[in-house]
Amino acid sequence: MNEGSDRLDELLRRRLQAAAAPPPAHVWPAVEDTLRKRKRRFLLWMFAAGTLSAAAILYLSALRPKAVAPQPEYPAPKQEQIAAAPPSVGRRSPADFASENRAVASPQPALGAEIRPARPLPDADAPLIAPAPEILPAAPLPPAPEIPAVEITAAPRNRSGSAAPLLPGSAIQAPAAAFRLPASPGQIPFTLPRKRKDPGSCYDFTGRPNVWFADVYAGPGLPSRRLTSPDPEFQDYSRLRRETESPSTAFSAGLRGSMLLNRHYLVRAGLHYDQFTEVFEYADPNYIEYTVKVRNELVGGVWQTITDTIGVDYGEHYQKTYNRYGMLDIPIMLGGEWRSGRTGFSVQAGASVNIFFWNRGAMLSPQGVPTDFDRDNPAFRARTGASLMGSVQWFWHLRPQWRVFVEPYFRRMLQPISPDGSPVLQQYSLHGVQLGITKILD
Amino acid sequence: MLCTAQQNTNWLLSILSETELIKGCLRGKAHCQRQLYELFAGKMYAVCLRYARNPSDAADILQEGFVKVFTKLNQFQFQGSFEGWMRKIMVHTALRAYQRQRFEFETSGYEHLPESPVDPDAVSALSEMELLALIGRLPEGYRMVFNLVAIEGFSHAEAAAMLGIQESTSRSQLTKARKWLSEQLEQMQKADAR
Repeated sequence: MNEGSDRLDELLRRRLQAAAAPPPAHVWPAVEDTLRKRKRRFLLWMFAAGTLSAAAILYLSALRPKAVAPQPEYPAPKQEQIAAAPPSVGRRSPADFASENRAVASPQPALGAEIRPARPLPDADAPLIAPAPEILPAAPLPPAPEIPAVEITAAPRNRSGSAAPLLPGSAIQAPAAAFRLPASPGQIPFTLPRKRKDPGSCYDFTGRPNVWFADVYAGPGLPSRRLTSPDPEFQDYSRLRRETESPSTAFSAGLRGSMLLNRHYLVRAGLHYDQFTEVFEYADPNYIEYTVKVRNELVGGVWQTITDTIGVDYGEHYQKTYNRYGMLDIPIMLGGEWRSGRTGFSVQAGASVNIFFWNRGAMLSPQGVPTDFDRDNPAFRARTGASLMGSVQWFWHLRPQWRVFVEPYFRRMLQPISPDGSPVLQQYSLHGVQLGITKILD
Repeated sequence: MLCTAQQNTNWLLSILSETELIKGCLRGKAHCQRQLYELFAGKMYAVCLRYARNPSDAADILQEGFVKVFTKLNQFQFQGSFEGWMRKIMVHTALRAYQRQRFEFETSGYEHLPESPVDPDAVSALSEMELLALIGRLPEGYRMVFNLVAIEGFSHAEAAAMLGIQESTSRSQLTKARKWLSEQLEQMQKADAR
C-alpha cells in the first residue's frame, strides 16, 4: 500500500465513520412491529407451556392415590353406658332396650350406670343433634330415684370449633348419632357411620346419566390464511397481497349449552365469536403528491375552471393498518366424554353457521393502490358461510357441579370470504386454546 | 445533508443517558427503544448504505440490524463503545444479506492502471451523502472489501474470512476499489473545475 492509498483511506474513513443519513420513515414501525410479534409469540409460548404444565400437574395429582383418612374415634360413652346397663343374661326383653334407649337419650343417667364426662366429639361433621333413633315401644318405667346432678365438663364442639350451646342432654345425644338400636335383640347395637363422599369429587353421573351443561369460554388463537388466485394474470397481485398483509393475533369467546346423554355422549350448541387481526403494511418509496388548486375565473365574459398544480412533493408513502375481522357463529357439535375421578376429557366435532360478519381495514387493490374496506366499502361476503370445527377438552371438577376446562380448537372455513369473481380468493383457518368454566345444571 | 437524528442527539441525551436508554430497553420499555433508535439510526443507516446495493436493501439491513440489536442487547457488557457494538451488528447483518444474494465479483482491468495521487480537497468538497453515493456506486465485490478493510479497519485475512474469499482476492479487490474511487474523484474534480 503506497502513501496515496493510505491518504485516500484515511480521508474517506474520517468522513464516513461519522457519516449519518436520514433513515426511511418505514423502518422504525417495521422494527417495532417485529419486536411486538416476537414478544407476542414468546408470551403465547409461555401461556401454552404454563397451561400444559398446569394440566399435567393436575392430571398427575388426580392419578395419585389419595391417603385414606383415619377413621374418627367414636365416643366410647355409648358402649360404656350400654355395658353399664343392667346386665341381662340371655334374651333381653324390649323393656331392656327401651331402658337402654332412655339411658342414651336422657340426661338422667340410668339407674346404676356409671356416669363419666363426655369426650369431645372428634368428628366435627357429625350432627350435633342426631335424628331420632328407632325406638322400640318402651315399657312403663319405674320412677327413677333422685340422683345428684352430674357436671358435664367436656362439651361437644360445633363446626367452627366453638363450644356448642349445651342443650339438655346434648352431650349424650350426640354420641347417640353413632347408634342404631338393634332390630332384633341379641345383636350388638353398634355400626360405624358411613364416611361421607369427598365433596370435591366428581358429579354423580350414575344417578343422572342425562344432564345439561352450560359453558362460558374465551382464549387466544392464531389465524391461518390462504390466498389463491385462479387466474394466472393475478399471481403477482396475490404475491403483493401476501407481502403486504401479515397475520397477527386472534381470540375467540363463546357461550355453549351441552346435553350429556347416557353419561358419555354430547350434543353441543351455542354462540361462538372469533376475531382476528392482520397487519397491512405498505411503503411506496417513489411517492409523488401533487397539490392542485382549482379556481373559477371569468375569461372573456365566460367562467372557466382553471386547474393549477401549486406543489409537488416527492417522498415515501408509508401506511400501516390493522385489518380486523369478526365472526359470530352458531356451532353444533357432537362428541363424547370420558371421566376419571375429578378429571376427564371430551372430544367433539361439528359445523358452524355464520350469522354475523364484520370487517374493516385496508388492502392493495389489483391496481396496486391501498384501498380501505369496511361496511360502506365492502370487499368481502356479507356472511362467511359454514365452517368445520373440532376440539378436545380437558376438564377438572372444582366442585361436583363446576368444572374448569382447557380446550384446543380448530376451525376451517369451507368457503373463501372473497366474493365470487374476485381475482384472489381469501380463505381462513383458525386455531387456538379456549379456557372456560362449565356449570352442570341439575 | 446531515440527518435530523444527529440534531436530535443532544436533546435526547439531555433526557436520558445512553446507559439509561440501554437499561430501559433491557426492561422492555418501548419509549427507550424508540429513543435509542432515533439516536443511532442515522449513523447506522449510513453504514448500511455503504454495504447495500441500493437504499431499499440498506433499509432492510437497518431494520434487521435493529431487531438484532434489541433482541441481543443483553449480550452487551457495558464495556467499550455501544455505538461500536451496534456498528458491528450492522456490518454482520449487511454481510449476511450480501451472502444471501451474492453474485460473482466483477472483474475489470484496473490492476494495470497507474495510481494517481488524490487531492484531499476532492474528498473534502463532497458531502457525506455524496461520498456515500460514491461508495454505493462501487462494484459489489470492491465495495465490500473496501468497506471492511479501508473503513472498518479489518485485516485482509478477516475480511476474506467474512466474505468467504481468498486473502489475495481481498487485496486485489481493495486495489481495484481504490483505483476506481481515485478515478471517480479525479473526474468529479475536473468537472467542478470546468
